[in-house]
Amino acid sequence: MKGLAETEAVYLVDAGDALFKHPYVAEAQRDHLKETARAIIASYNIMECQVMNVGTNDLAGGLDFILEMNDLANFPIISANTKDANTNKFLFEPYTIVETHDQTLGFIGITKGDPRVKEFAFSDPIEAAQNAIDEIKDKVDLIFLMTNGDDKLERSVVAEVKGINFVIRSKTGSLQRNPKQKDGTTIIRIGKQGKYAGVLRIRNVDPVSQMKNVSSQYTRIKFADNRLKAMSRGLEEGMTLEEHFAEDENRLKLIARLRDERKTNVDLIKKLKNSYFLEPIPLNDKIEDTPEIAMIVKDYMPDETKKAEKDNHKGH
Amino acid sequence: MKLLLKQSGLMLMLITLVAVGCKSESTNPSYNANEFTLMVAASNDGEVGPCG
Repeated sequence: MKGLAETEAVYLVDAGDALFKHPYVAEAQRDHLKETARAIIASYNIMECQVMNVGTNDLAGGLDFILEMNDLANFPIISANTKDANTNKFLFEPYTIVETHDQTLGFIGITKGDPRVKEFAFSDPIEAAQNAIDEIKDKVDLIFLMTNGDDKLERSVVAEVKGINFVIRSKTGSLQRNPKQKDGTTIIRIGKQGKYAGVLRIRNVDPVSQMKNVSSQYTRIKFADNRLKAMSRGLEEGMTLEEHFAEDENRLKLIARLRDERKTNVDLIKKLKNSYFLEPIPLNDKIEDTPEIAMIVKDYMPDETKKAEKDNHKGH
Repeated sequence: MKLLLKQSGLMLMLITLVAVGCKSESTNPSYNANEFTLMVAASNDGEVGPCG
């Protein structure tokens, strides 16, 4: 989206359950899955992740392991309600604050907890979230509550916790392309198993206006851009579409309509004070490798690297 | 090897997107006022790459 999105800052955040699939690991897989978890944290370090919420699955490697991950991470791993079951002390910072070029963002982490993670205890997530919000609400422009839990916890959070702008859920069943809004809170769910990353673009002009979902406007703009781009293929350099199709009245009408529709939607987005849109990006095999991550694979999972090279060789 | 493909893909997409953000941060000092983008990850579930 030229003119609206090209000059924005991007911040990676993780709402929880990044490291393991379940809140437990089978003994036979323990070492291998821990190496994978280390590789994920190392990758997040390279990506300059800003914050990660602790999900119950992240605790599957045990107390010592999550503390090791906390040391390995160059970013804050947060949880407002995860405790050491032995000492009953909180293990992580409840929140972190991220400064953009002109906004101050508060991220708070909570989890529903799980009795299967034996070395950990969990305080009431609702109370923990409200306490953290009350602590930072005067210092930040927006509050993101990273919530690791089920739909019931999500409903309780939205109904009972005051002052949240966005709930970012982990432990969701499926992707929700069109986020729900309730009582001024927008709920972001991007699914499970790392199938998607969500690009959440936010414009926040004032603290009073409600956030408006402008996904449909962005979709129309993208559609117009794609159609115009398709028609531009083979265009002589320096020539406009209108010049190229000067003899084709129907094409000229279509071009005018697309340009008009694009401008209408861009103007509409610009008129709104506070708006957002969510674009899920499928993390599929069309994604190209990069040297930085290849190095991490080699460092942390040398066996898999060799096998992959062998498989690739066979494939060719 | 699927695992490696998964591993490389998973975060590579993110790294590419974030790299774009970081690049613009270092080369373009004038962001759009009041605008920012979160790259949201959630429930990665220990996966390390494309999930078809």
